[in-house]
Amino acid sequence: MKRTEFTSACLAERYTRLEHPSGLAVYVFPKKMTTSYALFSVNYGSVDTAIPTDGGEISIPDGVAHFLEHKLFEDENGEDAFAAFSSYGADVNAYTTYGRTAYLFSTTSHFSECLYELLKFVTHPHFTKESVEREKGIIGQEIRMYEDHPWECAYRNMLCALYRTHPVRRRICGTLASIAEITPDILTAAYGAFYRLSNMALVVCGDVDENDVLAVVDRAIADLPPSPGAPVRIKRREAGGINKPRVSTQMQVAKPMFCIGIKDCAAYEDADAEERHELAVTLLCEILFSQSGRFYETLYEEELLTSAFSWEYSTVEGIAFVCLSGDSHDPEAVLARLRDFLEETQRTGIDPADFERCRRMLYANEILAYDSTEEIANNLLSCAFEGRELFRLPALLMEITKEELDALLDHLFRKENFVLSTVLPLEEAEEEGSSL
Amino acid sequence: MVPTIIDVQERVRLRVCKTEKFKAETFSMSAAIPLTEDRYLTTLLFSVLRRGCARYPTQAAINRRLDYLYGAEISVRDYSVGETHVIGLYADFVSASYLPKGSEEVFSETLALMRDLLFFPCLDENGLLDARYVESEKRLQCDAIRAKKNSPRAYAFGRCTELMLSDSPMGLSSLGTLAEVEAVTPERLTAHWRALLKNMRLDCFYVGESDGESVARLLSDTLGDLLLAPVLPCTRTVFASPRPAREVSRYEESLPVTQGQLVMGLRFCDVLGGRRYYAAMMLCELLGSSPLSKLFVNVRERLGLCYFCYAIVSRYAGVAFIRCGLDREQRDTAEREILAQIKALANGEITETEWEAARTSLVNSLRQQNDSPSAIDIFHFSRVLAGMDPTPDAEQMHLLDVSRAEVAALACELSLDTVFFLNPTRAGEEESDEDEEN
Repeated sequence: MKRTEFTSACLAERYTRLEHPSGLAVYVFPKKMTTSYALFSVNYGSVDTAIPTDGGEISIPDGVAHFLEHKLFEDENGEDAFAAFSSYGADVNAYTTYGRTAYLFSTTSHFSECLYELLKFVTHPHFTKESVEREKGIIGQEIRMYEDHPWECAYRNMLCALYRTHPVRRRICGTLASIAEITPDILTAAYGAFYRLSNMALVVCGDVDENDVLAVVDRAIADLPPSPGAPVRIKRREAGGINKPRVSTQMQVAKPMFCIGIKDCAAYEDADAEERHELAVTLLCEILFSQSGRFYETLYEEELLTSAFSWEYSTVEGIAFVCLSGDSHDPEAVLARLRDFLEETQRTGIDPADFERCRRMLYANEILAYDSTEEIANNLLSCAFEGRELFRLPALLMEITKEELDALLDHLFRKENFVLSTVLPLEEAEEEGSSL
Repeated sequence: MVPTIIDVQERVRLRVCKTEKFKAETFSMSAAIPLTEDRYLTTLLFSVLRRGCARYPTQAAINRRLDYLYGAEISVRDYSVGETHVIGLYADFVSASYLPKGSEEVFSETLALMRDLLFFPCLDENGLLDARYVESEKRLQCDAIRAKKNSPRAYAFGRCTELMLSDSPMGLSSLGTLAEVEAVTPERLTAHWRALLKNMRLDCFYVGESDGESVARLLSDTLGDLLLAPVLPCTRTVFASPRPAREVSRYEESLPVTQGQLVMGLRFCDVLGGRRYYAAMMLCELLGSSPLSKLFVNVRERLGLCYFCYAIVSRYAGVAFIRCGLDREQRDTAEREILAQIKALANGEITETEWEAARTSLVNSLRQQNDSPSAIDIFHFSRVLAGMDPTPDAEQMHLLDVSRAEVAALACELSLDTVFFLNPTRAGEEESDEDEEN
C-alpha cells in the first residue's frame, strides 16, 4: 500500500495519505482532541445530472445525489443507521453539495466501532419502492423549508442568472416534480455509476491510529466485489458571458436582499496554476470586500450596507464565481457603487498596506483552521478530491505578490460578467394575527 | 478543563484555563446583570460601542487594526442565563507560538482594544455617545426587528416564547420593539452606559498558553484604576418564579410562506434546578433531540409529517418547546402525535436502547465542550451563575445518576400551555418552470 506522509513544522501538524488496495484514498490526520471526526465521501454531487455510459450519458432527475444521501441510511431490514451511532453516543450526519456527497460522524469514544458502521452503511445500499416513496414526503418538506429561506432563493437565482446551462443552476434537493420521478432503479444505477471506492475518499481526524483505521477499512469492505475504476465524470463547461444580468423575486422579507454574482472565466489546465489562482482570488476578495475595507466602510456609513454583508469565492466542477451578498434598501445602488469602486481600484492598484494586512488575516485563518477536527477533515477532503496538499497553503499565500493581484483585478471584474439577484419585500404583506 | 480563579481587583474576577491544546487564544470580558425590560437598550449600547473608540474612531479602523494583529476578532457577547443578562466582549486571536518572531504583542494589544471599546467610546464635546452612531445603530436595530419574519422558523419560536413568558423578562426580545428603539436618545443611551460601568463587576475568562499570574498582571495593568471604585452588591436571579398550569392558549398568524411552523409550549410544575435539570436533559434527549428520539422516529420517520421536529427545554423558566415545520394539513395530526409521545414518556415507555442512546449522546456532547475555548467559557460561566457544578465532568456524573422514574415523573408534570401556529399562505412554486424561466 502506498503511504505518503506530510508534515508542517510551522503548524506542528502532520497527516498521512494511504492508497488502499481497493482504490479508496484514506487520509489520517492525528489530532489530540476530545472529538474525533470522520468523513466518507464520494466525488458525486448535484451537478452530476447524468450517468456516464460507454456511448454517452443517461440523464437522471434533479436531486438524485441528495436522495441517495437520505436513502443510504436505511438498511435491508428497514433499520436506520442512526441507531448504531446513537448507541455509541456519536453524532452522524451527511451532506450533499454541487460536487460531492459526504457521510460523517463525530464522537468522543468508540471511534473504530463508528467508523465500521459508517463504511458499512454507505457501501451497502438497499432501496425499496415503499421506502423511496416515504422519503419523498420527507424530502418534500425539506424542499419547502428552503423555499421559505430568502438567502437560499437569492443565491439560487444568482446562479441561474450567471449560468445558462451548467447544472449548478439546478437545486441540490431537486424539485417536488423531479423527486417524484425517482425510482429504486434510478437510485441503483446512480449508485453503481458513482459510488465506487476509486471515486471516494475517507478522511479521519482526531485521536486516532493509522493502523486501527486501516484494520477497520479492511474489515468493513471485505465482502465487496472489486471496485471498477473511477467513472469519467461528465464535465460541463460553459463559455464566457452570463445568462441574464438581473433576476428578482418577492418574498416575506423586511428589506431587500441581494446576491451579486461575478463569473470567473479563467481556465487552467495546470493544477498548480489553478490552485494559485484560487488563492490569489481569495486574497484579492479579502482586500476588496472585507469589513475592514474601504468599500464596506463607505457603504456602511452611508447605510447602503449592513453587517450582513459578506463575500465568498466558490469553485464547482469546472466553474468559479465570486458572490457578494447582503441586505440593502437599494441593491442597484450597491452594484453601481461596486462597479465604481472596482474601476477606481483598477486605476490606482491595490494599496500595499491593504495587501499586507489581508495576507496576515488569511495566514491567521489558515492557522486557526487547525483547532477543529471537523474543519481539518473538510479541508483535507477538498484537497483530496482536487489533488492538492493541505500544508502548501500558508507558504503559497506568502508567495503571491501584489503585482499578481493588480493583474488579476483587470481580468476578473469585467462588467459583462456581473449579475444582480434580489429578493424584494412583498408589496402587500398578507399578515393576520389572532388569538383563538 | 477546570479554570483557576483569580480576583484581580475587587470588581474584576479572572478565570484562566492554561492549555496548549489550541492555536487560538480567547479572552472574554462580561458583566452579569439583571435581565430587565431595558435589555434592548443594552443590546443597542454594545452595537454603538463596537462602532468606534477614541483611539480608533470608526469600525473600519478597529477592524483594520485587528487584521494587523493577525486577524484577531472582537465581537459582542450577549446572552441570557435565565433572568440574568450576560453582556460584554469576546476576543480570539492566534497564539504567539504560531506567529512570526518579532510580531507585535497580539494579546496585550487586543486586550487594550477591548478596554477602549468598553471604557473609551467615541464621545461628542458634551460627553455623549456619538449621535451619528446612536442613530445609525437604532435604524439597524429597527431593521433587525422588522426582519424577524425573514426566518419563519425563528419567528414562530420567538412569538411562542414571548406569548408564553409574557410575565417574565425571559419573554422579552433582545431587540425590543420599534417604538422602544425609536425613542432612544444619545442622552439616555449614554446614561445607560455610565450606569453599567459604575455598577458592573467584570468577569473575565482566558483560554490559552499563558499562566494565570501573567494574565492577571496584564489585565490589571490594562484596566488600571477604571474599576477601582466600590459598588453595591448586585442582586440578580437566574431561575424564574414557577407559574401554575393554566388553560391552553392558542395563537395563529399567517405569513406568505410555503411551510407551516408549529410551536408547542409546555410547562413543568417548577423550574429545573438541581437534580431536576439533569432529568430534564434526559427527557429532552429522549423526546426530541436525537435521531432515536420519540419525535424523530414517530413524527418524522414513521408518519412522514415533517422534516424537523425537536424539543428544547428552558430550565430556568421551567418550560419546554416542541418545534415542527410541516404542511398546514398535518398540523392536527402532528399535535396529537407529539402529545402521545410525551404521554408515552410519562408512562415510562422507554426502551433500553433509547435510554442508553440518550445517555451516551449527552455524555458525548459534554465531552465535546472541551474542544472549543468559547464553549469552555460559556459552559463554565453559565453554570456558575446558575449555582451548578461548573465542569462537564461533574455534569456528566450527575447525568449518569438520573433514573428512568425521575424522567417519567418529570414528563408527567408537562402540561400544554401555549400553541403557536404560523399558517403558510403561499403555494409552493412550480420550481421546474421557475428554473426554466430563470
